Amino acid sequence: MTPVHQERRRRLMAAMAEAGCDAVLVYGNAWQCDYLRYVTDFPPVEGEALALFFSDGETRLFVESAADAARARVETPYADIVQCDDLTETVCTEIGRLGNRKVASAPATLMPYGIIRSDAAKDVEDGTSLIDRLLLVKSPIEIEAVRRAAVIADRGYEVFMDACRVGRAEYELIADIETYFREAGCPENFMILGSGGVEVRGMHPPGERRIQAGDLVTTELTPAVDGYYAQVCRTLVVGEPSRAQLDAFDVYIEAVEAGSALLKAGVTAGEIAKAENDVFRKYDLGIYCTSEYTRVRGHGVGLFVDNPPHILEDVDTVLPAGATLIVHPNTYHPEVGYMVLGEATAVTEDGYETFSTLPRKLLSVAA
Amino acid sequence: MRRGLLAWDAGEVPAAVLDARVEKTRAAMIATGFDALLLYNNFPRPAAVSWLTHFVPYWSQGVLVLPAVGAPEYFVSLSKRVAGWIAETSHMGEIVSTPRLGADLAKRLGGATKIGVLELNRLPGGIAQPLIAGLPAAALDDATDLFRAVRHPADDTEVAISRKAATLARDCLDGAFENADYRQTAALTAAIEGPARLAGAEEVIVEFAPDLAGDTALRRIDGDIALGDRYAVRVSLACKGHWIRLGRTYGAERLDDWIAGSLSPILDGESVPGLGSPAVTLEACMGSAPLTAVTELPAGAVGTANLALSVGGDVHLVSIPVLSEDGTVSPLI
Repeated sequence: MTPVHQERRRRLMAAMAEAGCDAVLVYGNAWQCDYLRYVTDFPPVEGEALALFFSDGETRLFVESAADAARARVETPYADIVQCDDLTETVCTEIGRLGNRKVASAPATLMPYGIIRSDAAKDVEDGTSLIDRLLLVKSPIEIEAVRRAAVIADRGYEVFMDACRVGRAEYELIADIETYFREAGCPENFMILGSGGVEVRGMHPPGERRIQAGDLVTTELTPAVDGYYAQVCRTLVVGEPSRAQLDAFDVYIEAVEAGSALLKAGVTAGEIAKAENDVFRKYDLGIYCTSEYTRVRGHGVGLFVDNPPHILEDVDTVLPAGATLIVHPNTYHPEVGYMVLGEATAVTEDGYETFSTLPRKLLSVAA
Repeated sequence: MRRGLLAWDAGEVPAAVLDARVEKTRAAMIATGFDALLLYNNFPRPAAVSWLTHFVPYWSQGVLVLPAVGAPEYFVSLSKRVAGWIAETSHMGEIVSTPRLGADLAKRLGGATKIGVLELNRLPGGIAQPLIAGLPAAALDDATDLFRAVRHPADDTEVAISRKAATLARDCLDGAFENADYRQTAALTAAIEGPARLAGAEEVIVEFAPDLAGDTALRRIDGDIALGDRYAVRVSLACKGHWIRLGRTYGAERLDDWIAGSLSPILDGESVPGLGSPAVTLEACMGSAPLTAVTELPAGAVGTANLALSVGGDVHLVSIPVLSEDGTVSPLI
């Protein structure tokens, strides 16, 4: 068992004891496995899995395929691996056997309907907030994993800049970065990008569009180390940045710095978002902080790319020391197009630690 | 997440092919008495929706509504700004961006009395509960068997794309070993995956049984570990929503070509001299997962045969893309 997982189990067992909880049932899939990984350290690569974790540390991991079961036996030897034909039916039977023990499940939004509607699970409580609290506050060993992921993200961005040449297709750029991440032993990465000019209003998975001189190229790279993601967002220009591009990007730099300046334990996510958005409002760009143009002004990172809290003005989550997140005022600018900027940070008692060493400026590569 | 090339080439996947799949599914849906069919997708479960619409999600989740009349509609929890990208890469009707998937689906389906849901028991609670609460007069029935009944045989388009994916996986494996020898998993993963992505693969997963003297579990390696004298590599690769697997064992005489040539008698349970009793796992696309273990390939299905064999005391792991045709399972390439 890895040291980071030993630490997670210890914290989970303490939280369960405090809540009077005998067992937690967690679900995860290859898209979102933060709850499952926190409890078992098992990341589904293709499919889905469920796990029961008991207050004494006993772990039962339920998977469907023989291949997943074989992999789980190697990767999580401390867990009892249950291979079953029907995941939900088997787990319902297991829950039924627990009698009147207090069971909590998470996350509620992804828990399969077959479990929710079963008689066996009718007394299972929602344990999402119990595990959310654990996911939010990282231990030093977890923060170190995010820090190592950030180092790979920075190097990945340098590879991205090298790859970004006129005539290359978007998917070819990403092939270069993924190759670097695999060479670095990093199996997972969340990444979207945008390329073009004022017509570009967001980022997307790579397509066949080819890079042109003068393009703004945006990306967010999010590699994972030991399951922990770190994200870096940067914008580059293919060729010399124009005055308009530089002036526009100054707004994003100011917004990141305004949001980051507030970061410390006790501040709310909403206050961070407001500080970012106030900069845009100051330049009559407030409309570009709305959902028509942007999703969030940052978000948590950890065992999921997009952990709570979302940095939005109406989110009142208080940030504790140990939270890891990215402040990114990514949005559309009417004069030049979509721009992004931000990097993973950890909240401390009296401020924050930024993991990235990339400069906060509009970058450029030769056309 | 998916981060390879996601693009719709209507020459490669014609709209008429997607329309034919939709109409075949709709006919079964109507015959069963459903007013609509719901198909959930996220990126680990993209296959049913991509088979009908070509859409492959890179992130998040959505539900495709197949109504009794009209084009499929897609309810997705991505922002409106992504709707244009979804429309560009797929063939479907209205795209509804909403953070309230279940509630908005219920509004859309108001008046329906019998609704089919692919893999109903797997529908996430965050969608299922508001959906059911918003449709108190409707019955939601599992439509997994209905979908399985229409999913096969593969049409010519599926066979062609699967063959392309298999060829790409084979070429990338061959290419990786052309001028190099490997001692570590990371370098070999990069040597296979990089060229595959450069050639337009939609997704690539490289797994190892890094030392067959130890265990035979195939796993994606987090980090970088040493390869043993004998090891197995399996490449799972997707093009345009269709997944294949191709696996080989290295460090010993390679047997994959020989095994592929003997596949039919092996799968028929016939004794093949020197091969012992292979353990066989067949996989095909049966629902929302790209590949699911099956006891028998449906007639006309593209799939994968995963074999574990002991030859001369040494374990060999081999995965072969296959096509079930005229009662025979044979290599796809």
